[in-house]
Amino acid sequence: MADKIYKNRLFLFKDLNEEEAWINSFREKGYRLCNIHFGFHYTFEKFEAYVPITRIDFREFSNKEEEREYLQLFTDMGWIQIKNFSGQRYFQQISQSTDEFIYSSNKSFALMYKRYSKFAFSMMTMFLFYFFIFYSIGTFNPIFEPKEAYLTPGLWEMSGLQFIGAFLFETPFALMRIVGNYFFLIMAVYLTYIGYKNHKKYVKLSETER
Amino acid sequence: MVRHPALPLTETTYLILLSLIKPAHGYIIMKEVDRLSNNNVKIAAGTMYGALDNLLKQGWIQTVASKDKRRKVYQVTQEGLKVIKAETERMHALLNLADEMMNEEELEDGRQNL
Repeated sequence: MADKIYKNRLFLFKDLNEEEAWINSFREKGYRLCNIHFGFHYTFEKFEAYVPITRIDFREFSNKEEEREYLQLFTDMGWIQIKNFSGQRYFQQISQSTDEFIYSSNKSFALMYKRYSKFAFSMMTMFLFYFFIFYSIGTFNPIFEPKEAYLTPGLWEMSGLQFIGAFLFETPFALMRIVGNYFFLIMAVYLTYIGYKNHKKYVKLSETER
Repeated sequence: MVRHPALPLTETTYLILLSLIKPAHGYIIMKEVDRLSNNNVKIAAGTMYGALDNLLKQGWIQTVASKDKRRKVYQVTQEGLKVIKAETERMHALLNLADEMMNEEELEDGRQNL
């Protein structure tokens, strides 16, 4: 059996808790998370001893000193940070004697979703801002007619195999032109959804006492 | 008497404030709260960080100078002490009330009326 396994998984519409559960599901088979690249390429390694639990926290810092103290507190409490993607932090138990959780009250757990929601909304504002800048300088060109995304001269006059060949060849580029144009807008819509979803989770969690 | 607007406190907040009458950093606070509560109140890392951050913002605790360069050391402020006193008085009043109403004769009367 290989001692390392690699999994690619994007948690586009799932929340932090679901990602955490997925990571910890590998513990049953004796695998511990050892790294994540680009936010979706997970590396797990076979671990013979106790397989540590991974917990995700979300907290941004503008001050390096504050962040260092935060990480020190987690280390003192038996958690080591193995990855940080702009505030989304993956902590792993240093030993079996570490607590099972990083949140001991519902209220503090709920507040993590509030911070995440705020983060998503601020990113959304940034993407909207970019969109309007590109729109106002005229770079944004809404392509309402898909044919306009194909730039090969005389493409639509071709026929048979020649057309199919040229059409298929250019399709990826055409898609990129369409998606590229709408990229900032798509991101803004996506982040609105994420911000809204996490805010809803925050409200739901704060309603359950303790 | 007008009650302090922040009362009642959660058990966790009350115990953190009590443990910070003497200066301490996060890990020591966790251990102290565990001890003070007879191992009933366990504060996890993320909850502890959030609680300290929140108490700082409310001005009930402050950071104090220490030799430990890697950890922030906290202690209650005058305002924090006021909150502890107010909460303790509130609980005293409740305890006295309970003692009064739970004394033997009252309980006996209550049983007879059933």
